[in-house]
Amino acid sequence: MTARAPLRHATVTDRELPDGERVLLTPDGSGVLVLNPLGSVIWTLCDGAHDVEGMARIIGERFPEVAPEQIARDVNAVLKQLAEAKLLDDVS
Amino acid sequence: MSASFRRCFRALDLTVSVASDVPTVAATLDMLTSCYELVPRAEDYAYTIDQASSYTARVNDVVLYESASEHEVVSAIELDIYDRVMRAAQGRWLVHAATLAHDDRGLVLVGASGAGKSTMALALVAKGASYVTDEMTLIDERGVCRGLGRPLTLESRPDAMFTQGMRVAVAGSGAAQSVWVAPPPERRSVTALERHTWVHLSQGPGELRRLTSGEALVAFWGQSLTTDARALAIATDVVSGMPAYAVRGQSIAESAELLESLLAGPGGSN
Repeated sequence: MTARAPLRHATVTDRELPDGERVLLTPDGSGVLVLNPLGSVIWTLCDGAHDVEGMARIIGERFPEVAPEQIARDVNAVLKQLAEAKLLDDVS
Repeated sequence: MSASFRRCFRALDLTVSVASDVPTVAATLDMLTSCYELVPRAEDYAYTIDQASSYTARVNDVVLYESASEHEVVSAIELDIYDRVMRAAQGRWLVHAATLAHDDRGLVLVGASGAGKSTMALALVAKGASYVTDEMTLIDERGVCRGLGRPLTLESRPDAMFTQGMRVAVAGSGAAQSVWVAPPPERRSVTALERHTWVHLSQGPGELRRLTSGEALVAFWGQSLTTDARALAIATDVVSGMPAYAVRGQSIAESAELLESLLAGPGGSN
């Protein structure tokens, strides 16, 4: 289950790609997760200070062309991906 | 030891010597090391094979492997060199990939085992590219590409039309058989390549498609032999700055044609 205010692992290596994508290295180095620009913003908001609703609000301001329902779905999907890749701290 | 064969060469960041006075082993070692860049002396590891009741391989005078099989002791040396090369490459991006040189530009072929990297490399050398490696490609902090200069290594003897002018040797037998192909010196390159085009090879309906940097990273990282943060930084720079393509064909011949069009077109030189 995703934490209320998700917090990214401090030790995760991440690099930006030229087209706004972001690549994250899984802790064991065996895989990479590439996030699209929206996912990249979600990752930066995983600072332990933003809950899902707060993230969705900020992203809605950043991507006004995307419907709020879509943003809510995307936030949850990206957080699930990050949790499955063990890139978030396990706090709640 | 008065060696009937001794050769010093560069295996990526290491300089290595191999020597043996056992005539048949010497011939095999000569083939195995024929594509590496020669150096005047070896600073890192000295390998020897001698024969008493069995064959014994040593590295820096320490026994590495003993066997009644000549092929097994030679393989033990080969694998030990690869292992040490991989360890010495930490902090750079080492990829399980074949590389050819074409007009001073590298063409790096990445694909899962069995995707046909070595066969494709041989086909492209037969069409005029220079052979760099079919096994390990190293990208350093400056983005410069080099390869492990072992001979092309195949599971079965290739079509003779691909190996005209090349040295071919078969070692071992059955499942342990290796076919080594050494292109002549003028068809090999040990030059460090500053510009490179990256290709992900797979089998299926013919397709040539430019990859986004994210797609390229996912495709190529899967074949990384170094997987730390510094390797990722280099890999990210590579996919951000060098062209990357997916090439898919039903056969090596179809994929080779697609690759040739890539090399001939603007994508191969940008």
